[in-house]
Amino acid sequence: MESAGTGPDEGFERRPRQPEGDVIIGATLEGLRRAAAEVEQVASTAETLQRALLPARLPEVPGLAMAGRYVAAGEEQQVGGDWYDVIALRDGRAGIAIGDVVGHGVEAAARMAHLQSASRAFALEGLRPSLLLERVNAFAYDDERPAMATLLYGVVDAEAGRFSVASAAHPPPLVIAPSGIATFVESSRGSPLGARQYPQYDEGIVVIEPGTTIVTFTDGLVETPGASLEDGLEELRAGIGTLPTDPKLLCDELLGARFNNGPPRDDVAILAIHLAAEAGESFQMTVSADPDSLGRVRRSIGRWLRGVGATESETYDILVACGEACANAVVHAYPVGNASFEVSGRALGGGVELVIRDFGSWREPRPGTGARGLVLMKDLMDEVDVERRSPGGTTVTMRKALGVNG
Amino acid sequence: MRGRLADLTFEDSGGTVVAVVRGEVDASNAAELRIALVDRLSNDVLGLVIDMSDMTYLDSTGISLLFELARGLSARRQVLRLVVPGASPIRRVLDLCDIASVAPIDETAAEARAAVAG
Repeated sequence: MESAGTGPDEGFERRPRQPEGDVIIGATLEGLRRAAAEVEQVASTAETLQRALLPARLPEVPGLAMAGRYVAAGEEQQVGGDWYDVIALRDGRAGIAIGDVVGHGVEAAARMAHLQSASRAFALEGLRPSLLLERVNAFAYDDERPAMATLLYGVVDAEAGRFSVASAAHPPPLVIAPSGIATFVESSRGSPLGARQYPQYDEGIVVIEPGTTIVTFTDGLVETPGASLEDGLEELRAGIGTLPTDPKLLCDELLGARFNNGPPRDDVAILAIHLAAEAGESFQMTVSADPDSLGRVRRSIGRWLRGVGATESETYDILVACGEACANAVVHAYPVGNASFEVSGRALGGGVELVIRDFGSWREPRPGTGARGLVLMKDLMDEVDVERRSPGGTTVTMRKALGVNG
Repeated sequence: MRGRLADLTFEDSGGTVVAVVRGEVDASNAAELRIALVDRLSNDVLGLVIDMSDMTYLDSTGISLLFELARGLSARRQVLRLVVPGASPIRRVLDLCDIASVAPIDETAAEARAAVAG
C-alpha cells in the first residue's frame, strides 16, 4: 500500500522577490530590508500553514494505492488555498476531497482549514457526495467571512466497483480505465461553495473495475495563459493514458511534464487513487497480530473471493469463518508482544481453501467466545481442520465449495 | 490511523434505549461498543433495542457481547431486542448461534420499540 504526503515540490526554486522600481525611490536601504523580510515572513507563514493542513500521510485503504501532491505557485504571495484529503470510511470505502479556496496567503489558508475540517467531519458522517457539498456549502455560506471555494468530493467503493462524485464548481475527476482510455466524470458542476444559500449538487456515478485509476486535481494543473480551461482539460485527458498507473509515479510524471520549465503560476494539488488489479488464483498475506488488522484482512480476502467468483453470501460465510480463525490467532495465540500471522488462499476445483497459520502457543478456546467461534467456522465451511504444531503455532485449514447453493 | 469499523448512535424513545450500530463489529471494537451500550442503560429504562439493519459484519466476539448484554438485562428485568431484517448478511450467523433464544429479532425498529413498550 502506498501513501504519500506532500509532494516533490522541493525541486522548484523560488525566485527572489524583486521590489518594484517606483517603490524604491526615497526608501532607505534599511527600510527596504525590513519590508522585504516582512513579505518573506508572511509568505512563509502562509505556506507553512498550507502544508501543515495537508495530510502528512494518507490513510491505508485495502485495495487502493494513493498519492497526493501539492506544488506552491512560483510567486510567494500566490500561496493559496488548495488542498486534498482522503478519509477512510466504513466498509472499506474511501472519501476523497480536493478543493481550492479563492484568494491567497494566510487568509486563504485559514479558510481552507475551516472547509477541510467541515468536509472531513461530514464525510465521517457517511454523507453521500451531493449531500456533503450541500452541508459544507451551508457551513461556508454562514461563515463570518464567507469563503468562496470549489470542492470536489467523491466516494470510492472498490468492493462494489463504484465511484460517486459531486462537484461544487471544481474541475471533474478523470477516470482512467485499465485499457488506458481516460474519461471525465461529468456531472453538472454546481455553484462554488459560499456563493448561494441553497445550491443543488448532482452526483455522477461511474462503474470502476480493478486496475482503474482516478485522478483529481485543482485548476492550476490545466491552466495555461491564452488557452481555455476546456482545452487544458482535453490536453490532460488525451495524454494521461500513457502514464504509469502507480499513483506516485503518475503524479510525479504529470507534474514533471507540465512544469519542467518552472513552477506553476497558481497552486496545484493532485490526488490520484489506483484500484489494485484483480488478484489471481491464490494469494498470501502476512498480518500483524493486532485486532485492528482484522478489518483489513477481511477486505483483502473478500476482494480475492469475489475475484474467484464467490457469491455475496458465500463471501460473507467465508469471511466470518476466516475472521474467527484470524481473531483466534490474534486474541488467543499471542498473549503479549508484536507478532504476525499468515493468511493464504487458493482456488480449488469448484471451491476455495484458506489457511490461517500463526506461530503462537495455542490455548484451548475459552468457553463462550472461543468455542462459539470454532462452532461458527464448522457451520459455515465444508471442512475445518485445526492442526496444533509443535513447537509452537496453529494452522487452521478451511475449505468450501462454491456455487452449491446458487 | 486506526480506521473505523462501526458507528454507534442513539435514539431516545420514551423509556427504551434504541442503539443504531452501523458497519462491522469484531474483536477490535466489541469491547468499546459494550461499554458504550452499558453506559446508556440506567435502571429505569424498559429495555434496549439494538438496530443492526446496517451492520455488514458480526463475528463471535460481537455475538458473545449480545449474549452477555441479554443476561445482564434480564437480571434487571429489562429486555433486549434486535432489529435484523431477514435479508441482512449478519442474519445467518445470528440464527446459527440461536441468539433469538435470549434476544428476539424484529424486522423493523418500530416493531422492536412497540414490543419493548408492551
